[in-house]
Amino acid sequence: MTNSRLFGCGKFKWLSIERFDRSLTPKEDGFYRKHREVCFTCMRYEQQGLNAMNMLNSAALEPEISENFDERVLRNLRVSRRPVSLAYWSPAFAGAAVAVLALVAALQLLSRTPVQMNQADRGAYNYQRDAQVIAPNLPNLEIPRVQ
Amino acid sequence: MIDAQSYVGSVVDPAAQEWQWVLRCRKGDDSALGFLIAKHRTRLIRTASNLLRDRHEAEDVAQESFLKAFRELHKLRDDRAFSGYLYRICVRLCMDRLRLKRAEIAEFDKATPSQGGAIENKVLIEKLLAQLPADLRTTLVLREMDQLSYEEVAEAMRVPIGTVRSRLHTARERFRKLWIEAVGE
Repeated sequence: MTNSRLFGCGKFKWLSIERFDRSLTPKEDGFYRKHREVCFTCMRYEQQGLNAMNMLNSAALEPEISENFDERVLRNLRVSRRPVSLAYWSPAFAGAAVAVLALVAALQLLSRTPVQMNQADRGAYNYQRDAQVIAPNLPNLEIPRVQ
Repeated sequence: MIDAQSYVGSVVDPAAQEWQWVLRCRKGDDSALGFLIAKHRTRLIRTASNLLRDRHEAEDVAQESFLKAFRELHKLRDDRAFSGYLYRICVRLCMDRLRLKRAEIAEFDKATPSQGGAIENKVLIEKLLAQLPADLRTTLVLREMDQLSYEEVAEAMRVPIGTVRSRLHTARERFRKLWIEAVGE
């Protein structure tokens, strides 16, 4: 047995962890046993790993369930299922109503302005046409602008 | 508290029986909810206790898992998969909490004097586990403490089995190193 590291220590370490979950193949097992006999460092490594895992297993907690656990879950579930009252949503409803009104007003303003302008143009055109019919020879009076 | 055994009737297949209860839950049957809670609470609380190392928090997480699972029951495509679905929710909630937690020791809520050195060991283990990343810690605890198979761990964490293997290998190695540093072997 020696304290120095030998060839195959990496493989030994890998196998020592693999052993927790699967049985080693005969070839792997042969290597493992031989290496452990001659390498004190790896033997120690294996022992430390086993100790650590044993401690981990022993530290598992047993569940402690309070008496009213089921009732609590069911009660919370009922609460979460209950429809929320109208009062809770009333500020949201009020806000939404104001927003809708504002939107409608804006849309109306936007849609009316061009119509009104068209109507004004049409009125001026009609006025000129009527004037031509009533008094075709009248000179156009141009009023000089007041400076 | 409802006893799950009291619900066991003539139906032999537990999966089929659970399927019936889930169907009844969908229709709003409260007794079916009670049955499912009674059936799964111990497992959920055990896993959450081992992952979070805090019994009160474990109960909270278990309760949250049930509420989430029942509220989102409509998302479950296969009623036979309810057990796994519930467990996944619980593990995910625990992992979320672990990620948020700082690496500090949570005090044990009930330290009985008769347990002697076992308590010290549990505190030490808790301290060491707290130093592992949430993914590695969860994999290690599910495998070593809850004794789940690779497939079950993979299903609970929603990762491939190969990932479970590599995480477990890394987690064991890191835990061993931490253990040696702490104990000074």
